[in-house]
Amino acid sequence: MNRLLRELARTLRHEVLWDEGVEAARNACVAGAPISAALITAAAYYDNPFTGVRALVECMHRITSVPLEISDLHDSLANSPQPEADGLAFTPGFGFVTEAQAAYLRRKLGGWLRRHAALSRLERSALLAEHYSALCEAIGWLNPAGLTAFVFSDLGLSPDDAERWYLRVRLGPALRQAQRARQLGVGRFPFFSERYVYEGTWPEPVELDLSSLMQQVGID
Amino acid sequence: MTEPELRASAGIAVLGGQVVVHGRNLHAECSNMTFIGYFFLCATGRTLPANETRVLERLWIGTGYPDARIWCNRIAGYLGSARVDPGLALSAAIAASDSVAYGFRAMRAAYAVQAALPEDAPAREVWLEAALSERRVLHGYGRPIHGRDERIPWALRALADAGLRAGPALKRAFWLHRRLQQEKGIQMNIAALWAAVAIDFGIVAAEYDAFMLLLFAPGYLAVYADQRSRPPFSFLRGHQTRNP
Repeated sequence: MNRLLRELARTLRHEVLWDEGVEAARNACVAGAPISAALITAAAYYDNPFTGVRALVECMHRITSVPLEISDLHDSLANSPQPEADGLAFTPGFGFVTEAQAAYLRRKLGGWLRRHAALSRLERSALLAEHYSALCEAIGWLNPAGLTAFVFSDLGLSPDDAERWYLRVRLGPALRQAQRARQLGVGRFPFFSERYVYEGTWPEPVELDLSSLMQQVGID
Repeated sequence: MTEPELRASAGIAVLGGQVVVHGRNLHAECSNMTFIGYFFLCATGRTLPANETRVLERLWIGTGYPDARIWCNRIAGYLGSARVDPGLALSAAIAASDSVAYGFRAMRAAYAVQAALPEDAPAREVWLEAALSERRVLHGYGRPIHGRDERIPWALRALADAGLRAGPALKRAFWLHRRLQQEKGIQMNIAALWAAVAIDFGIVAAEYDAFMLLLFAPGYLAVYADQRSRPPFSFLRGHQTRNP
């Protein structure tokens, strides 16, 4: 079990899975905020209901509450409106990853199933892998939270264990990149480099006479 | 074992009864305050005259910029786009604002500069000469992106509208502005003005730190709410600075 968890951790820390949590953490530290600011930022990000701990726990709940049959798994993982995500319909633990990220996760899962074949406890993961294409066509590609949900469920670990572990693992790259951003400094960060399209209306501009105001308040 | 004791002077909430804040009846005496006035009371234990509170409120409003490109707002944008709870998003944006280049630590440093400026004009010249020769960074002067800080005229307008004139600290702040323009071609930014106004209002450094904490919050929340209304993860997706 420990070896599998170490492999899962290495997988989740890989650069291919660096996401907006890493970027937001960079943002947090680049202007010289303490590392705690990056920690708070990344921890907030990885609380999200799509790929974060909330998705992980919900996915674990869904896959452990049904028998180990593909039809039951399929039904329990069906997309549904999620109140915590403004009613968007999705399956926590699935979707919201790029094709490259999804392929990477699928490849890793396949590798573990082959190498850890003696671990018959990886039953849900095996079922997922066997029916991956059909399942994911309906609900989206497996994402890091979903992969973790399947592994932790198969290993008989609790959602509390999963929450702590997942957050700890995902914070690592975010904090390291935040420190790197802080070393490189604001000058190397692309603030105000994006094309910014303001979609609202424009009021009339108003200019004030600074000299007159300085006189008015008694600044010579 | 003795019963644990918690001693406090900030106030007490007698649930179902009276709530006291720094000696005042919250509901009877504080309800008529502005939010900024009440916030100042909570942060410092005292109140300011209504016109000074109004100036502080307008200084806050004057910097609540809702532009997603601003570094602390970008965090709010990422988190709104990911549907992170607003409380966590606000916490993260505030934490990131505790920065040296911009934000709270820069503001603290700007306050220190204003507080260090000697009252006496000849002493100020000596102080400045030393600062220049030592190449000290004088926080509150020199705006990173553009030469002019558009918030300054509006801050002075807030003072004028409140029937207030510049106090001694604000006058010293502008003295330094003129001297640095002459010596280094740089200008005052709003952090110097905020600090000087605070000093003139009798706000000490620790109070300044505590009170100014939420002034960027409207900007964070504007960006958070805007990005939360758009498709998930659409905020700058695919543009991570992997190798800055």
